[in-house]
Amino acid sequence: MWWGGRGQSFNIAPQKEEPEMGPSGPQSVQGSGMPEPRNPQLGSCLVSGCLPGEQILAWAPGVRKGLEPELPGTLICTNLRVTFQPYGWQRHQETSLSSDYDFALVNIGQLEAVSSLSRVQLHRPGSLLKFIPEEILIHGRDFRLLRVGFEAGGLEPQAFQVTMAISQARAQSSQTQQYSGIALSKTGQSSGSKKPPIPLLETSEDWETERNRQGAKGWRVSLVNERFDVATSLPRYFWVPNRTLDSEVRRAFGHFHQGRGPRLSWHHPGGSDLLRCGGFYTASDPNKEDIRAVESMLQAGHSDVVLVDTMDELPSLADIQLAHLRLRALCLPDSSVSEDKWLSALEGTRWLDYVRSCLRKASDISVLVTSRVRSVVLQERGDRDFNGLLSSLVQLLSAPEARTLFGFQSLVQREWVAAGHPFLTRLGVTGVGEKAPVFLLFLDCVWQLLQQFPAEFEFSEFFLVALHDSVRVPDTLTFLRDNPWERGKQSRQFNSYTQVYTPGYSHPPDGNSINAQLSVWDWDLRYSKEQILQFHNPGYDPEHCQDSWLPRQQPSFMVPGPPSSVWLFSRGALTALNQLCPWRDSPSLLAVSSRWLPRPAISSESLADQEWGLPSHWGACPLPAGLLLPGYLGPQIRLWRRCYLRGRPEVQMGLSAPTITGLQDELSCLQELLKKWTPRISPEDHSNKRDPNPILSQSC
Amino acid sequence: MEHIRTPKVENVRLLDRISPKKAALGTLYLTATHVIFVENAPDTRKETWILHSQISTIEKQATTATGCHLLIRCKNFQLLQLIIPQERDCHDVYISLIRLTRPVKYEELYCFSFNPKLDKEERERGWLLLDLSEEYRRMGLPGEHWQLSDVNRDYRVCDSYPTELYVPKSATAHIILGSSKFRSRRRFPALSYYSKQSHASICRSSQPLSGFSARCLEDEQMLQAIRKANPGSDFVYVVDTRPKLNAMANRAAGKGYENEDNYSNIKFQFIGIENIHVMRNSLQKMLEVCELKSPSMSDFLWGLENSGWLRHIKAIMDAGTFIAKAVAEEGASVLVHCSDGWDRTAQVCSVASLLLDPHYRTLKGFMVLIEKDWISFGHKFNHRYGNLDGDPKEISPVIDQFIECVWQLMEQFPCAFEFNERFLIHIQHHIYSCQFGNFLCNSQKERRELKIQERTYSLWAHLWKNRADYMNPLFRADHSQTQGILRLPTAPCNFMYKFWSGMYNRFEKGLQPRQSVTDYLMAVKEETQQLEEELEALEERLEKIQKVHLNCSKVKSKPSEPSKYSGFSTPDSSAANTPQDYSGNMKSFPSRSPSQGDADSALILTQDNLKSSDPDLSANSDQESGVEDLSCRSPSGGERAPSEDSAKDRDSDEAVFLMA
Repeated sequence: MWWGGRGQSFNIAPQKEEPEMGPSGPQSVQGSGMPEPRNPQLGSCLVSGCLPGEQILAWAPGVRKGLEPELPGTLICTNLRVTFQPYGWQRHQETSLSSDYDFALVNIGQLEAVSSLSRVQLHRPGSLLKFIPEEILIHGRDFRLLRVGFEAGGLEPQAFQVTMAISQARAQSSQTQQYSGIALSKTGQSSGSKKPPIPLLETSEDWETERNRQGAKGWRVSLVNERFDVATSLPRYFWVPNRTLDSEVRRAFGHFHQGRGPRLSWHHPGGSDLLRCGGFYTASDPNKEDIRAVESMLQAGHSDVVLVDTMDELPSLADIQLAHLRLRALCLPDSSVSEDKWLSALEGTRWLDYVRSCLRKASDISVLVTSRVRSVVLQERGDRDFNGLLSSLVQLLSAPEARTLFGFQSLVQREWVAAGHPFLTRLGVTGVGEKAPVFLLFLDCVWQLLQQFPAEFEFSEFFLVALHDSVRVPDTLTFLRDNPWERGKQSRQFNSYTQVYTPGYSHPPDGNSINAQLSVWDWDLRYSKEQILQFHNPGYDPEHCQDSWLPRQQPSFMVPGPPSSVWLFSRGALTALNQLCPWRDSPSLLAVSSRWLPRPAISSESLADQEWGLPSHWGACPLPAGLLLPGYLGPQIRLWRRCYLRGRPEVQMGLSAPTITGLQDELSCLQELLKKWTPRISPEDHSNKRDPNPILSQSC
Repeated sequence: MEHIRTPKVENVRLLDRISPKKAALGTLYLTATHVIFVENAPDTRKETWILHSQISTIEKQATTATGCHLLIRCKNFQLLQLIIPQERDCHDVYISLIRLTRPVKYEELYCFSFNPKLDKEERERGWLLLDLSEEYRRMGLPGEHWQLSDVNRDYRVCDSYPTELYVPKSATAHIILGSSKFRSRRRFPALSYYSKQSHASICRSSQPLSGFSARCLEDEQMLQAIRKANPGSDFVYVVDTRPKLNAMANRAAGKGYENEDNYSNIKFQFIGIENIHVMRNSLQKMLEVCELKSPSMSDFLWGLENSGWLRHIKAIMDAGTFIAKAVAEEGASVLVHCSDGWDRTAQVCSVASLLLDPHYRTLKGFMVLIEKDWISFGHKFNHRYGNLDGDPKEISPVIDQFIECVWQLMEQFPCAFEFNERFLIHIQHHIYSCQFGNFLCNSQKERRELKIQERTYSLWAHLWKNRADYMNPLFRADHSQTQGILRLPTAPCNFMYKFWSGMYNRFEKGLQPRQSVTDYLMAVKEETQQLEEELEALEERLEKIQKVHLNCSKVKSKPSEPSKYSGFSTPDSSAANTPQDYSGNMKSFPSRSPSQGDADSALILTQDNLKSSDPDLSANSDQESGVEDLSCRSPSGGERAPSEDSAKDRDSDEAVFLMA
């Protein structure tokens, strides 16, 4: 029996690190009944695509369905991924991973085997397939779908084997497992130390550069957490007010949840500062000096301070997780929702409603930041989820720099990766901690902005989809760790941990570091040059907002005394507070906070309309240039079809291909014309300038 | 004029729907044709013009401390909320408008007073832009199996049909007459679309008067003739676009549907599109959702679903797809009918034609399609769109649904259509505006009696003249999508159909995206064209300059020399056309987008001759002055604004004149 001894043949040995193998050949499955690839060409094709340490477990020829036209090729299951290689397609030498054809094992959300008689979902590795599949469907957690049909004619055993292998491999893969060795082969190619495309904010220079770029003169880079002893979830470096000593920082941070005290997120060119911090650690008993330190850090030299209760009016983590699961179920091609009930089912997921509330809140906060010079503090208990989401959205709304490709990637690196958003826990299948795709919710919010302001963003929808999918590809550490400390540990950056760090120290002494410098921003790992070109939004028009607008200036960092006005922003309104910190007189103010107050008026009016001195209607008076105020009424929030409905190619017809090809065609046409003209026009220009002008001046 | 009780009310406030606290203070004017609101704000003095014929309902609401509320709903989905300080004024405005918006005679409609300052010849040329006989020739008619019939000369057989009709050659006058007597309102089967490749055709008619058992030999022969006219197939589809229940109910009234036993070789099919009353209510429900002050996600999605609107759109698309498939893939002819064969039949036939024939996806082809399937075949524009005061139960958004179907298709096939969304929106607007004569009356016969063509202007000529504004920048004539039949997925997926915010929320600026990619692309295209023209001009100049150089070297001092160059004395303007200038243009570009008020009011006023983007003008310009022309054609808002303003002034003069 060819499937006899199945347990043995697919019992995959724990992954052996064999980096010296390099991009070498596959180890064909040990002792299995797997036939050697008959076609030598196919064999070499399989070989060429392998990652270091990757083993091919099973393969079968098949046809990729659901696309127009159907694509014949080979379905391959390895210990790292499932991949479909179309015939004649060669893995690009530089891109060892493919965004089109690869499914990382951790990305597989659902595996279905279909025959004319039955349809089974393979959940556990133990579940035995009782028939020979004619087709298998792999539903990605990233909403992609791989549908491969197998042809009859002697190849059925292979179809069976590959299905079982996928089921097994998936069960054995772990979330933390990474495509190791990929960095090695990668860094081997580009000789020497490669500069990361985006500053990873692992060195103090990166922070210093960014601080200068923002023009945050009143701030400095604090080295107090260089050894992660203030908080492991914080980055090694962060920004604190100039006048605050490191000892004060240490003193103050101890009174915040998990040591995440107030730090600068973004300095508005007009003078306002956007800060983020964790919740007050109410159990602590700070002395007067501690309180003074905390207050001066929150105040950041401004006389006007607004504390923003971040979680107010936003969904909980559990809400988001549930909404995302429902959304995924709804977008499955065979979702049982009847045709007429689609809209209410979509509403039932609540996903769009959560997107809407995030946008509304971000819009309010960005008005707070831009309308007056003040310190705006985002306060969330953990400071690792919604603070990052809101702070990034506010920056996208208020800072044109953040809307460039570079700016956006830096933003994500700073507010999410470096700030310690627990990617692994939130996205993970580890089962530990609270799962919630907060980052994906953020990407959806960004997509909504892109829809509403198509000329304001340098990156395209394609880029957002790429970032969305990267979350499920374990090729770099960016999304595979919960905080910078773990990330650094893994990349052996801190293996000389006991050494005294010196500012400016950046490279680990041994060149042995794996993936130290590779991040999700190394797009050429997974995307071809042509695809990366599509990251650019052809409609981007940076000239749109040149004139810099600044709010009423006030001498900043001049008033050392206590803040003259302290506000709590909650339920879409400002409430005056007596004091910043809750400890002076119990009961604590924030604990009572306004969580139970109703939103004052149920109206769509954002703060912009009410009292902030902004124009009473659009267009007539100039809005602060570069400030985008998003729409968040029901009809304005749309479903991100190109991302969520990818499993249903029929829906994609008008969405991706034609439009993008249309634009691409248009672009290439224009570029060709440009090329044609450049050599022709330049001599003409000369002749124009030299010849007719003098003649003209004579004639005049 | 006698109906206007008060021509002018001051200190009126116009509310902004999204944020009711914002209100613009201004003056309200009533003229014979328009309601005009002029804002007091001195820097803008923004004007809002509403044609009386666009107004669907006027609602006087409870008086509050601030004044009397007046709510004006328009057929193009605009919603005006006015606060008039004096109750008496409000009442006068209300009573005047009630009368003004319900004309009883055709002569009261705007198209009989509208004068775009074209001479008689131009007007006549405008009406000749489209020629239906030309369209039938394009289809390959008359041909081997089809001929032009004069049976309906002077509307003798059917007064809602046109005189020119194509019928199978084998159908004699006797058969046609017999068949017409067996059909509701004598609308016998006639050709709507003919496919040259497959010889299959789409025919249309009304329901047969079959009752429970009646038969008609001639009608059976008629269907036989249609089948025989298509040698490639041995059967005909008969598509009844009504829900089966409705068709059965009609049998009790002596009408009904074809019995498959009586007709040889037909395949009968029901496709359930609901009747005009259901559609009217559905739209009403959807518009209520659109009117919500601050709709939440669930308000919007639930409301949209409960209105059923998208479901109805899907039903029409499904019917169109079915017919297109039958014709293209099975090569079978189809006879389509509903009850009277002028609402659902028109929708379905035109959707099917659009799917089948790329010609209808071009600007001119689309106009022809509406001319053929809607105007000539007697769609009751007057009743459906309430141009004259009439039975409110007759009003229904039939052609609106068709226009939306086209938009849904455009969303799915962005490269397949030569025209853009704006084109559809403007057509919808003018179906209700009564500014042009095209959509007047209920049939060709009535239009001829009214001498529409001699007394009014044609919308098609107007649209064609401004076609530059209606081009889809993504259209590619050589794209694989563009050729042949458009194939919609067969799998059921309701979410393919989307809410058309650009139509139903078109006056809610806050709800629209702030920038339009289409406009951006159009600007790029225009710019490209300008650069090309400029290049050509420059090349020509270069040639001349080289010649001059030769001359110069030969004869150094020639007095006539400078005058030679005065012809192309524009190096400055050409130098200004550098990339900086380009980006400057782009920046100001959004001011032309149709979602903006100015452009819209300009559209309503339509002073063609003042439009600076008129392509005809530039075509006349000779090469030498080409460069100068370019600068005034550039899409910068600054240069356009004055022309639009003057357009307004002139029209307001006219309005005043009319009032006097």
